[in-house]
Amino acid sequence: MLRYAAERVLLLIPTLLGVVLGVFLMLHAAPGDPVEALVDLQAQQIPQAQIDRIRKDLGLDRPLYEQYIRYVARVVHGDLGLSFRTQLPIADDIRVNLMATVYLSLAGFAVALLIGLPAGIISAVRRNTTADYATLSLAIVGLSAPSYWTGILLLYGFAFKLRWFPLLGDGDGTLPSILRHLVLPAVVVGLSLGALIARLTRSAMLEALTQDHVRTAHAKGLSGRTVVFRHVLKNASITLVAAASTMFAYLLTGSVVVEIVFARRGLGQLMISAISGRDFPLAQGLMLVFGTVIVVVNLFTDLALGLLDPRVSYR
Amino acid sequence: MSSRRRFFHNLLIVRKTAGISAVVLTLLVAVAVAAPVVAPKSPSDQDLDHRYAPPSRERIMGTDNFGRDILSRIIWGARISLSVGVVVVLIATAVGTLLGVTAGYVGGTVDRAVSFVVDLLMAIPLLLLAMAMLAVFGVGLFNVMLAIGIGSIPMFARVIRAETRTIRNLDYVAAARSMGATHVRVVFKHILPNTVASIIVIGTTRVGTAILTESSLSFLGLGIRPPTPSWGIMVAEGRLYLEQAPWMALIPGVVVMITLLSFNLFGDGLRDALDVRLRGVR
Repeated sequence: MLRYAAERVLLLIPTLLGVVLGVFLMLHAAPGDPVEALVDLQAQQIPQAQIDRIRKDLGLDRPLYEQYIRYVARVVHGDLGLSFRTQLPIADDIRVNLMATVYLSLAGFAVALLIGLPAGIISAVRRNTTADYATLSLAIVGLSAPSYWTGILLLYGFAFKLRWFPLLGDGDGTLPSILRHLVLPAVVVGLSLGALIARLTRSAMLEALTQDHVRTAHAKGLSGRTVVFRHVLKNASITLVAAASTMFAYLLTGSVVVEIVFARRGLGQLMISAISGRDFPLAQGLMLVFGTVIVVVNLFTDLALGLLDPRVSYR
Repeated sequence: MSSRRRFFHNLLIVRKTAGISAVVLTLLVAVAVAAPVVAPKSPSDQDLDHRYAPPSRERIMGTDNFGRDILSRIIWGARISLSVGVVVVLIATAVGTLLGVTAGYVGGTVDRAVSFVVDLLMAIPLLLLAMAMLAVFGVGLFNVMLAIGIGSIPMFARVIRAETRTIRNLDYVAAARSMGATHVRVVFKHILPNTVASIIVIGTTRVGTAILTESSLSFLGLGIRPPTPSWGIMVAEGRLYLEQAPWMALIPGVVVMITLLSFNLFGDGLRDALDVRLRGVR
C-alpha cells in the first residue's frame, strides 16, 4: 500500500506539469496575442512603444520553452500574474472567491449524500417495488433537469412566493445569514448529484447483494439491517468511491452555474467575467486552480480506493 | 419476426419509456424541421401591446418582455439545440473514432499517449472544458459547437479504444489477417462495423448532454447571442422577470428537461436493446 501511495503521489508531479502546460498553451492557442487582446479591451490608442514594453514585461519576446519555464516558476511561487481588467494580482482574486465555492460545494455534497444514499439503499433493498420505481423515476428526472432551471424554480417557489429564504447573494457576513443564503443553492447543487449517487448506490448494492458472503451472512442469522450495513454497503462503497471524480465534476459544474443563478460570489462567477471580459490571465489562473483541484481529488480517490480495496494496490 | 422487427419491438414496445421518448424526439425533430410552417409567429416579432401575456388559448405559452411569442421561440430554439447536438456528436464521433481505433489497434506508445491525454481530459467537466475553449476562441454559436464537440471527443475515443482492443484479439480478426487482409481492411471491414452499436448508444445520450451544455453556456451568457432564440437564453432572460412573467423562465426549462429526459431514456433503451456494455464508461 505504501509503495502504491508513493507511486501515485510521485505521479502527481508530471500530471501537474501537464496541467500547467495545458493552461500555458491556452494563451498561445488564442488567435492573435494576449497583448492585442488587452489593447482591444482598453479600446483606446496605445503607442507602439508601450505595447512593446507590455510584451516584454509579459516575456512574450522570449522563446516558447523559456516562457513555459518562467511560467512554471511563477506559478510555483503562487504568482498567477495580474488581471487584464483590474490590474490586481489574480491569486488574491481567486483566494477571496475560493472559499465561497468550497462552502457551496461541500454543502451541496452533504445534501446529495443525504438524498442519494438512503434513496439508493432503499431502492436496492426493495427492488422492483413502488419505492424502487419512484426513486428511479425521480433520479432520472433529477439528472435531466438543468441546474440553472431547478435553481430558478426553487428561487421562485421558496424565496419569491413563500419568502422562506432570501433571494440573492451570499449574506451580510453573519453566520445565520450566510447559512440562510446557502440553503437553496446547496439543494440545487445536491439534487442532480443526489440523483447520480442514488443510481450508483442502487446498482452497486444490487451487485453486492448477490455475493456469496451476503448469503452466508443471512444464513448465519444476521439481521437484515446488519447484513445491509456491514456487508453490502461496505462493498458497494468501493463503486461509489471509484466514481468520486465523476461526482466531483457534477459538484464543480453545478456550483459554477448555481453561483450565477443566485448571484453568489465564487470561482464560477469569476470565470464567467473572465471569459466574457476576455481577461486572459484570469481565465488561465482559474483553469489552473480547477485543474489542480481535479488532479488532487483524483489522487485522493485512488488512495482511498487502495485503502478500501486491497486488490487495487496489488495490481 | 425478422431480427430487425424484433429489435424495434424490443426497443419501442417492450421498453415503454424508450418508445415514448422516441415519439417525443420524433415530434421535436419534426417541429424543428418544419419551424417556419408550424411556429404561429416569427420568433423575433415584437408585439408591445401584449407584453408579459400569460399562457392562453391564443398564445399557448404566453409572451415575453418584448411581447414575443414564447411557443414560436421554443420551436425555433429547437432548431438551434438540435443542430448543436448533431454537429457536436458528428465532431466527437469522427475524431473520437479515429483516435480510439488508432490507439486500440496500434497499441504500444501510441495507445499510452492517446490514453493519457484522454484520461486527463475526461477528468475535466465538459462545461469547464468548453468554457476554457470559449475563453480562447471567444463566444458564439460556432465556437460553442466546436468547444462542446472537442470536449466530447475523449468519451468516444475511450469507448472505441476499448472496443477495438477487444475485437482485435478475436479469432476472426486473426483469421482475416492470416488470409492476407491488410490492416486497413481489418479496421474497416471487421472492427469499425462492430463498434457501431456503441457509437449509436453514446451518440444518442451525448446529443442530450450537448444540448444541456449549450443551454447552460447560453444561460451563462457565453454561448449563443440574443436575440437568437436559444432555450438557455430564454431562461436567462426570463429570470429577470420572475415577478411579472414566471412562464418566461419556467417553460423553456421544462422543454430542456423533457428533451434531455427523452434522449437519456431513449439512449438507455437502445443500450439494453442493442446489448452494449459500454466498456470504459462510468
